[in-house]
Amino acid sequence: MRVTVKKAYPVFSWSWDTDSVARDVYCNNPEHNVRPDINSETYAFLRNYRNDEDDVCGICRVSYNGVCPNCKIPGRSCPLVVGSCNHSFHFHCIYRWLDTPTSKGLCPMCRQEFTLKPEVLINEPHAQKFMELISRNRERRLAMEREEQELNNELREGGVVVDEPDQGVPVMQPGLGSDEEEDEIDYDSNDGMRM
Amino acid sequence: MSKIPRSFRLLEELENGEKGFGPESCSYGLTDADDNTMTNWNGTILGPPHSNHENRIYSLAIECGPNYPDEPPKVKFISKINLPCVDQTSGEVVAKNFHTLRDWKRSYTMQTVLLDLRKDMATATNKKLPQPEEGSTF
Amino acid sequence: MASLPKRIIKETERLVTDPVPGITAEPHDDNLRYFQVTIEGPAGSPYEEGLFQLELYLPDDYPMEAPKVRFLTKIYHPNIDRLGRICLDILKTNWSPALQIRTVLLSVQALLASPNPNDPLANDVAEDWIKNEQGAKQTAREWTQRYAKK
Repeated sequence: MRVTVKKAYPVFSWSWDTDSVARDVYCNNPEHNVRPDINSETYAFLRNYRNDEDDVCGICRVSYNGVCPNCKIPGRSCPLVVGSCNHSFHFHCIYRWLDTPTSKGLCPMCRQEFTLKPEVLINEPHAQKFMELISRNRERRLAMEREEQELNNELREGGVVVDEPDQGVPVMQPGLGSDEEEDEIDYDSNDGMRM
Repeated sequence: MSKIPRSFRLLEELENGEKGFGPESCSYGLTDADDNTMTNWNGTILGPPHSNHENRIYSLAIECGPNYPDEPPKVKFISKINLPCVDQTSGEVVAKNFHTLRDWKRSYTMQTVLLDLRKDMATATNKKLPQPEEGSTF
Repeated sequence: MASLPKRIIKETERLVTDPVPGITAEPHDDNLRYFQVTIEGPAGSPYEEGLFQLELYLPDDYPMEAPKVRFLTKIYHPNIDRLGRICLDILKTNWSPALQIRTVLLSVQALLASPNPNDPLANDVAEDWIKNEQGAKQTAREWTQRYAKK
């Protein structure tokens, strides 16, 4: 049988490489200190693990391959940002957060200082803007620390004992990653908590 | 812009009032700090300079009903004052004679009302009106 | 009114399909950012057997800004004042956009289980709590009976 191709319609698809974390884990295993075999079971497991609920931006809860709430077209104009803590967000989402004074420059998930993961590049105009924001935040934090220091010094000189208030309401969990974890809050000795 | 519900809007106003944000020429606060419906408020206006109101402090009662801020508050002078928009027997600010209440917008606050009343006291005709004895009340 | 962000729609749906035990949250028909909330008092706390009404509002900047939450039911607690305002770090300085309505309400419920009189909002209640914890807890139980009865 002869087939003549008259017309062809190529279809392309793309997605952000959010498996970098999985690959890192895999590569750090000395036994696999080579290019990861993407057909291996371990890698498939890590992929699936990452692909569940986790593949949404922790700020807007839209898939990484989608767009932030203010963009229409996914891709270069609304890229993904990977932090050195391995938490990823839409560029615009994390930018808006880090630009608020409440953020104190911290990652929404793990509350470490948010910086770009060095191995993962983002597009130039975005990268530039981002670095500026991070250094602005750093300056702001340093200024605040200085102020606090000065205030403490003043109080000490004035003979006032500064009593550090215990601020911790014990309800924050360090891992804010998945919903399931968040629901497990330690209620001290309250066994009958769940009703 | 979404619509901020009555209670959270009033809590914002309360905080602004307590922190003393805004001008010193007026102030306001809850009449009863226990009233979690936040309905009744006290207000004060410092009489504008270069007028017959200069150096006088006027007390007012403000009532934010269940539909505030979709609807304007009810405002009543406690201190006696001679002003065209104020009912001379009850002290009530008559909404139809006072543009801020008549053309009420959701974005207006108690502070807007107090400051606009102060402006009204300072208009060319109103600033010269003879005023009742200082300290008298409705 | 501007359309509701996807995140809020998703959160609302999940609150209905997969509710948190002891907590309900329903948006008002005329304002989908404004929720009517109930929280059951945690067992073993002075608020046990109580059902507390709260209101929650997601401001325009949510999730960059924390939800606003207030108790409508009167409650005797060192971190909740007479107007129902709550002193909870994650609602102010320690907010994170990774938190959600459900996690916020769980934190409020946890605050009922473990009051923190050293970081008070209601000063007189906190004083009472530090001086005479048993008495303060008794008052809290009485208030629960009086105002929060199911």
